[in-house]
Order: sequence, then C-alpha cells, then structure tokens
Amino acid sequence: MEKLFVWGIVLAALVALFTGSAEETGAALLQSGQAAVALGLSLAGAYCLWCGVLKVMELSGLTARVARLFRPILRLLMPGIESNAEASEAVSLNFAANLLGMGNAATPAGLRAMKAMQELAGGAKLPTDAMCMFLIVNSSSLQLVPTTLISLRAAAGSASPGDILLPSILSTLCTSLLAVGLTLLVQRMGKRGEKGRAE
Amino acid sequence: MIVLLLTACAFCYAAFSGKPVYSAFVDGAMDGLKTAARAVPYVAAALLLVGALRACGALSAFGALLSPIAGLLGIPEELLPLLMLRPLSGSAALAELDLLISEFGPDSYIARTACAMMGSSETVLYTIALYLGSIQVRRSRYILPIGLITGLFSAVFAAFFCRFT
Repeated sequence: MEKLFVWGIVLAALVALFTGSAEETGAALLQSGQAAVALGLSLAGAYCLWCGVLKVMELSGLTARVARLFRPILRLLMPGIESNAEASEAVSLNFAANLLGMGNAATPAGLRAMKAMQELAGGAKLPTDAMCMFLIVNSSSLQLVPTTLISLRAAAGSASPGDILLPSILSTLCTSLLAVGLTLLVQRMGKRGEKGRAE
Repeated sequence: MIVLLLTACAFCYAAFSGKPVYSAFVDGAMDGLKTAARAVPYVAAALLLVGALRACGALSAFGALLSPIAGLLGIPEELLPLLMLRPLSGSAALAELDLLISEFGPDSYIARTACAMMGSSETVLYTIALYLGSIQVRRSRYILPIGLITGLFSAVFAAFFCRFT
C-alpha cells in the first residue's frame, strides 16, 4: 500500500502537470476526502444496525449454527480458523451474507472476522494466510443474484432483464474458483520457501 | 424485506431463549460505529489515489495501453474503461455501466457482458483498504495482485459466457 500510494500520487501529479490538468486533479483530491467522510457516515449507519443484530444473533447462539454449516469450507480454505468460535462465526456470516447479496450486512461481519483473526494471530501487523484468503474471497464477488444489475437493465427497457443471471453466476463461480486456486498456490509456494530457508 | 425479516427473526429467537436483546443490540451498534470511524482514513487514502489518477488522465491512458492484451483475452474494447474503473471505485463503475447500457442498449452483447462482469467482480482496492484499515494493518502481501488478476478474469469469463447464453 505504501509504495502504491506514494507513486500513484506522484504519477498523477506528473501527468497532471504535463497535460495541464493540475486544477482538476487538485479539485479531485479535495473531493475524495469529502467523499470518504460521506461514505464513512453512511457505512456507520449500516454498521450500527448490522453489528447490533449480529451481537443479538451471537448471544442467542444463532451464529454458531451458521458457522457449523460453513465448517467444511473453512477447514479447506483457512486451516486453523475453524477451532476459534468467534473468527469462524464471523467468517461464515460474511460468506452467507455475500451469497445472499446483502453487501451491507456482509461488510460488518467481515470486519469483525478480520479483528477476530488478528487476535487469533496474537495481534499480527502483517495479514496471516487466513486473512489473505478471506480478503481475496471477499474481493472476488460471491453474490449469486445481482439484484442491482437486473433492476438497472429493467429500467433501461430490457426485453428480459433476468437473462443476465446465468452468465453472471457462471462467471462468478469461475472467478471465485480462480481466486481461491491462485491463493492456495501462492500459500503453498510460500510454505515451501520457508521450509527451504529453514533447511 | 429480507432485512426486516432477518432482524425480527433474530430478535424473536434471542428473546425466546431469554437473552437481553436491547443491551446486546446497543453493544453491537457501538462496536459498529467504532469500526466505521477507524476505517475512514484508510478509505480516504484509497479514494484520494483513485480520484487523482482518474482526473489527471493517467487511468484512461493506461487503459489504451492495455487494449491489445484485452483483445487477446477476448474482452471487447468498449469494456476497457469499465475494466479499469471496476477495482477502484464502485460508484464510478456503476456510472460507466449505466453509460454502456444506454449507449448500446440493455440487450446488446456489450451491455450484457458489462453486467455479468460487474456481477462477478468487486471493488478490490476499496475492499482491501477497508478490511485492512479497520484492524490498522498497512501491508497487504499478495492480496492486491491476486485481487486484480481475478478482476481482469471476471471480464474474460463474462465475455466468454455471454457469447453462449
């Protein structure tokens, strides 16, 4: 993030100077800050509701039931997490909400999961393999029914707005498999590298 | 609808098992507020970067650079701006998608591919910034490259599947 951030801004500044769009770029910087705060406020509103509901579900043991459903998947993707109740429950809830297309409920659960996994790793300042896998799965879409897109197509006068469903599900499936596959590959290679160094 | 049902069911279930619903909810809401507040600076940094790169024109120049590769992978040229915006900004990508739909018509191959691609990808940079930011982690190891590759392939898969369905 460090390098990306610094060099990205430097690159933007250089390009802006050469193309004479320095004014617009400066204005964009100011606007982004404002957008972040506005976004933060609307996120905070949704988090209030969902974190509240999550806590209630957790207290009554409902989240433990959801976690049991996802246990085999967790064992495969993020070994070492399934023994920790808090982390595995939050991860399972995040996956469930994502599949249902409830992005605004998935994020609070996801952030709780990150926190629980960090505590599990003894307050790590570097994301663990489990955290990386979780984030990568979250940054490839899991949503099965793209409700926003269907309504967008309907609004534009599509003959059958729902016919996007099949290609969307197929390509969601493929990208998720690709993301998980690549991550497992990198993690295996990392482990082999560590072993090599130790010997 | 689903929000209301879920909330009501969760509350009923907890109340019937004799748990204090109200105090648990308030507790959780407090956690949620703190989490959101912690993540804002990280989100601001990500939006700043995206805003600057877009406004100065570097993003569209990079898109033009990428077009031969996109052609090889079977991604229509018209989708390049969307492909560039998608990992960076959800709202900008949605605006671009809307443009494509009105330009080519909702049932065209381009618009369908764009929709399938939107549906099978996420705002990678923002997700990473938010999730890592909320626990104050500043390094991301191999997450970003894999996220971006997956995002690129969402377009490849979408272009492929839309040809047959």
